[in-house]
Amino acid sequence: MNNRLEELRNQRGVRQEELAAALRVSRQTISSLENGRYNPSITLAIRLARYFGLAVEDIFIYEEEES
Amino acid sequence: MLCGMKSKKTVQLMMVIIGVISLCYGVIGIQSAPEDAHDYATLLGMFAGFGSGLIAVAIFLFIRSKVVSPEKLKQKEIEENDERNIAVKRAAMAVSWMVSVGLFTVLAFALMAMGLRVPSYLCIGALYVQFFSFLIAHRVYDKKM
Repeated sequence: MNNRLEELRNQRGVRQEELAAALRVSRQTISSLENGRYNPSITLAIRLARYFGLAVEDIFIYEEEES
Repeated sequence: MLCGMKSKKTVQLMMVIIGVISLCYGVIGIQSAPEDAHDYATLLGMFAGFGSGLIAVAIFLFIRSKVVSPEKLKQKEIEENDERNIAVKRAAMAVSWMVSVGLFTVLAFALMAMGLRVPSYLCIGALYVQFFSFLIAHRVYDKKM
């Protein structure tokens, strides 16, 4: 699953540490989310969406995998 | 957060109580153990070592909670409750579970080949405990989720 997290964070001039502190997660989690290595739980996805004032699907882009 | 701190204090208190009991049992037992009972003395030594270890860890945790700044403790709590860290820990535990199943299986065969029946049966017993605890946990979480 791709996401626009890094782009949105850079647009708002927020550092990874600040975003992590606001969401009460570790900085590594933010880094892993941005790199697409880790997919968040529904709860964290919603918290992220609320933080940026967007819908979850505006941040996370789900693409059906070709089998 | 307050509830978490309370439960941590309870855990530390339990560690100290179990540690003191284990240490006292080991130390007092060694003094009254017969001279030639080497295995028994080793067992009591293990109790004493386990007890002192538990007490030391509890003291370390207590001192750390007093010395480390509240900001660092807060960060530590975030790290502990972080969903990715929990996912990483669970994945690592799943791998170590697989390794221990393989290890017990190999050990059971190796010990039996060496003619050590009882230790081999203990390994097989441990495998059964692992397997049945997995089945029980699977059933519980299957109902919960």
